[in-house]
Amino acid sequence: MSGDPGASGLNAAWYEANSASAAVTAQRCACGVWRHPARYRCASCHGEEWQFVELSPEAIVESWTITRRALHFGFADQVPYAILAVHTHDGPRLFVHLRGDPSDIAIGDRVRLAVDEFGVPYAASSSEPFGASNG
Amino acid sequence: MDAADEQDLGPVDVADAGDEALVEQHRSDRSVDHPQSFTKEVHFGIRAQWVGAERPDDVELLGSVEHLATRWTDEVPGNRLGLEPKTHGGARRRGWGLLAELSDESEVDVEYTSGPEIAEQVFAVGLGLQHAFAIEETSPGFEATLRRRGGDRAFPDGLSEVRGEAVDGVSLGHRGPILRFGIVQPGSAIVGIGETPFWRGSPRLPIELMLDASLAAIADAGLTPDQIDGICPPPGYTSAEELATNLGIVDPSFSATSALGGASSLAAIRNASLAVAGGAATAVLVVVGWNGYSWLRPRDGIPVPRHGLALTSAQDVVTDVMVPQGAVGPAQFYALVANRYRHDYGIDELDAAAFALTMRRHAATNPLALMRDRPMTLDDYLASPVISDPFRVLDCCLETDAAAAVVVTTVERAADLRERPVEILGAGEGRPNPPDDIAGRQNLLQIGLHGAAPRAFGQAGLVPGDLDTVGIYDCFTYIALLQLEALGVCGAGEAGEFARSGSIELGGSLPVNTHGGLLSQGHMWGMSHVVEMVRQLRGTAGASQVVNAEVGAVTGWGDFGDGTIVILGAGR
Repeated sequence: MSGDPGASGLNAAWYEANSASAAVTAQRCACGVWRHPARYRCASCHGEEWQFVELSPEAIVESWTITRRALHFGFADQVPYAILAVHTHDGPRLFVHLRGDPSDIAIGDRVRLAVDEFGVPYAASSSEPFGASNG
Repeated sequence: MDAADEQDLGPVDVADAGDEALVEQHRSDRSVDHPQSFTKEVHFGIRAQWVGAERPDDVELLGSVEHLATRWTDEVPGNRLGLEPKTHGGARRRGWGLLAELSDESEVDVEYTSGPEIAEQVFAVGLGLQHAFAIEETSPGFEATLRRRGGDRAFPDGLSEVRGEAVDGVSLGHRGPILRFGIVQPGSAIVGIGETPFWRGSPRLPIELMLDASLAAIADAGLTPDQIDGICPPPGYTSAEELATNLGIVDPSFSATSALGGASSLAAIRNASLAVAGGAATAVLVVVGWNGYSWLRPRDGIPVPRHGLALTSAQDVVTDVMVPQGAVGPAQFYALVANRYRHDYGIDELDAAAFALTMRRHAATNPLALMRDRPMTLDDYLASPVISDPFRVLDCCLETDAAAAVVVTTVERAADLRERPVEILGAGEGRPNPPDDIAGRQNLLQIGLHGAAPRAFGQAGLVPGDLDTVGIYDCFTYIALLQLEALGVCGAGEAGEFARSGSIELGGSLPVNTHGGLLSQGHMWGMSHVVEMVRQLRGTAGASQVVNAEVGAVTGWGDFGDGTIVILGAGR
């Protein structure tokens, strides 16, 4: 949840795009179809022309979990923390962690998305301040 | 119905059914209207017994159970119409079915004039049309009318309209020929099973455990390894070549591996079934094994395999977009599904607890279960710490070192082997969309089994209500409940109540995971569920035996909700 995500290929490029635009982006085909995580071809038109496009930071919580026991040493100092599946205003759906108190997160909540310096997305409650947003 | 009753169910004279007058009526009519040597054969593939109550006086003979058991065969190419009990390879049926087959291009309309909750399946086969349906044993009855569409060519006389009616309290035993709806192919069967002890720290490598289980399964089948000519290894740890070399299987003619995570075991059984049905092999070994406990807990004296689980591009999504969010394991991935399930349907921790407690009680009957001697109370469950909401420790299955194997061959060959065969009546696999990413799904509760189960039931010509016992891939309690619904044994949102009602207990209406499951026996990729189901259908499950178990289904889950299913039936 902090540091270089260590992704490769198209997903590494996604983090770079997020970082460069200081906002969450998603891959968008020339035909207009969004896709995330990044894919080689559009499942709709099968085209290969695409770009990473900045998303509106608004998103709705589709589901959540609060991890209370460290399942990996890399996150041991973070527990408890919330992981969300969110539906962005523009359409793509993605995993993000929640910055701040996870205790009252619920399905249907509105959150705002932002990215850290490595381009890793996170969510903040829409009623709370959040860091790197441009929106 | 006891075993003796089930033995003698060959053709009987129509007069036994008390239907003589009706038959005479048809014979008379036909002789007038079909002079070209139209003959009628009347077969009885079943014997119907009235149980409990006297046959009611007000049941019209035309719609009686005896009539449903009758089939007319027209020797003249053209019309063929029949009503048969909907049956499959040797297993007892609950409920009724109707088969109408017209060998020309005409179509039939089936109109249900009464009847509750008819589960309907329609298959267009060749030129004709087969129409099958079934109703629950407990349903009060149904009435259906079958008419040729257009009516320009008549049915055999007396059959322009056929009505069937089933009445409460009827029990069937059927040992007649296999009647399959849909795809017609040679049947396959599981003829051998084997499993190792379940370890938490095995001194043997996964490949060694897999060889143990393989040899046990081959011996159980009454075969020797040189009679095996197909191998389905798991996705990782070993290969068909390593297995073949160690077992003495020379020049195997078929091998296949499916990668659906924990759902792979049943996909592999389906591959084996298709292989023997298609002639690619005659006897296929399906084996899985791993060090699910020890690979996370290395310690002195526990060997480390050279090859682990074969990771595919599906892992890239985990590595690239989940792990950076702190989502590293199944207890987090599937928690997102579980919380959505709780939110949408009001499933709660008492529902989950009911499933977990049932698994623990069932494990007490299983000598191989890791938790055999570890009873659990509701207080224990509620006191167990939360790993990742809503999963408590006791919602999660047991990481295990073990192996299990089965041998699959054709029904024909199975008849000559050592154990009572267990027929593979239907099998399927399915995937949510997209299959490799959970957050990207429009509906987090749409899982692979939602597609796989209806396809498998269609192949089997069965409905969920036919199942006597079920094996559910219970990696997590809530995920098991969701699969019960996707399987179709209860409606959406009803699995919690189903579990709490005791239905899934031994002695309940649909015992689930009579061996204790992943939650309380141990995690062997669902293959131990198959091994247990085979024992159930052989009638050798011992303390966990479900009385008269003849049809069962096992589900698989893995790789973010891929689903598999195998429907099994007791063979003869």
